Amino acid sequence: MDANLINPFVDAVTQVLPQLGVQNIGRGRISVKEQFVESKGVTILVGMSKQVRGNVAYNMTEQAACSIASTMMMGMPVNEFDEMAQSALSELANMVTANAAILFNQQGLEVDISTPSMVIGHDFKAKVSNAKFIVLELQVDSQILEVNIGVEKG
Amino acid sequence: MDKIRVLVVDDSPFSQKIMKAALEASGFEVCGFAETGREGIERYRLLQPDAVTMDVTMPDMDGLTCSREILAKWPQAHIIMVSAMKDEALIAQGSLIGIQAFMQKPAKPAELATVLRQVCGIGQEEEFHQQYLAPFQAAFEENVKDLLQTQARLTVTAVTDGAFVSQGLAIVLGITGGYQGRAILDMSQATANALVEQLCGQPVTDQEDLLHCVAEFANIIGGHGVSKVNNLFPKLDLRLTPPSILFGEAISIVNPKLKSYLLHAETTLGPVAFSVGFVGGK
Repeated sequence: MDANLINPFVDAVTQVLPQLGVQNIGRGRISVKEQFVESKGVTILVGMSKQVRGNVAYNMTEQAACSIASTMMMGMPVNEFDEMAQSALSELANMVTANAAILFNQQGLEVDISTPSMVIGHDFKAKVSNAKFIVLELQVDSQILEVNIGVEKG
Repeated sequence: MDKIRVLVVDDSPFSQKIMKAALEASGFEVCGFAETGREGIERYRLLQPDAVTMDVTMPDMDGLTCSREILAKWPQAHIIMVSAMKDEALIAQGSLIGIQAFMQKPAKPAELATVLRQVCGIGQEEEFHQQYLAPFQAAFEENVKDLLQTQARLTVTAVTDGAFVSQGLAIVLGITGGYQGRAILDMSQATANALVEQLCGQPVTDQEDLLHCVAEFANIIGGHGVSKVNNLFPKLDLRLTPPSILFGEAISIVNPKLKSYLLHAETTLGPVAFSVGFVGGK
């Protein structure tokens, strides 16, 4: 996959997450996968259309989701993944993807994004792309956030 | 939502002042003024406003000519004519050019605000939320009946909140454009097996082929639905994102902020669900 399609996501994450209260972002492995995203428990899907088409899946454990939601809510304790926490994480996925879309626009590629769909469950898989996709693993404060990017130029 | 930016083209300083006061009182932003037609075109180019109020009588060219030139260069421009004159001939000529509304001076601030919001496509939100279901329902029903050659009994539920609970295999289609949304086609693995066998004319054992087949079926329904909605609301330019396929046990899908409908078809192959919903407009 074209590296130019990945950089906007890397930049979007590093631009947006600090605005949401995240102190440290560590970049872990970047790998290429085929087939399926194996959900860690909470997987947020955002679709892209127009000149870059595909899906992005933000994947994390429920515990990581609670912890990130707590950070976004200025440290308010989040003990269960309730509506408020779901809404916070959806907003995070929306903001990061929208930011990546703006960076694509600056490269001259017109991109539109869908509303995020948050999938919650145990032991499920998601197929985000017919081709290979990139897995970007991030250390967000003490939690792991996996960003699966299955997009191509449309 | 950002303020609607309006360019006022009018050669009278008094009218400019009145328009500015009226527009700002209703929450619009006056992003610029022009006193001549030539200046109006130049300001439009620089400012790219959301809407233009246009006078008829100006020193260098009339408001119709100025509007024609703006619309020739920027066909998406929203122009309303606000003038001392308002007669049949003017409305007929102006409509042909593409001017969307005609108001007589002095324009009442509340009326001006309503008309401006209408031409900018705002205030259609309620109308959109009331009308998008029927086209998607038709697309779902037609394709279940035609492609599957099976009878279906359809029930429709409006869902304002709560999670969508999957039967095991869910295809999620993002929707982009003037309103952001998503559609889901959902069924059990057993129904998917029967459905794909029906579509392909033979059993399909490879799980990946099966998933692609169901995803394509979802894409057809979603595509037909989106096209029908675009015919009703051409400015929205709705599009589908490529399908995401989810499968497993105990999957629920949550979309905060979404208002959605759930269509449930009892078919001879098993139950098939289709959910479609949108959040507010841009």
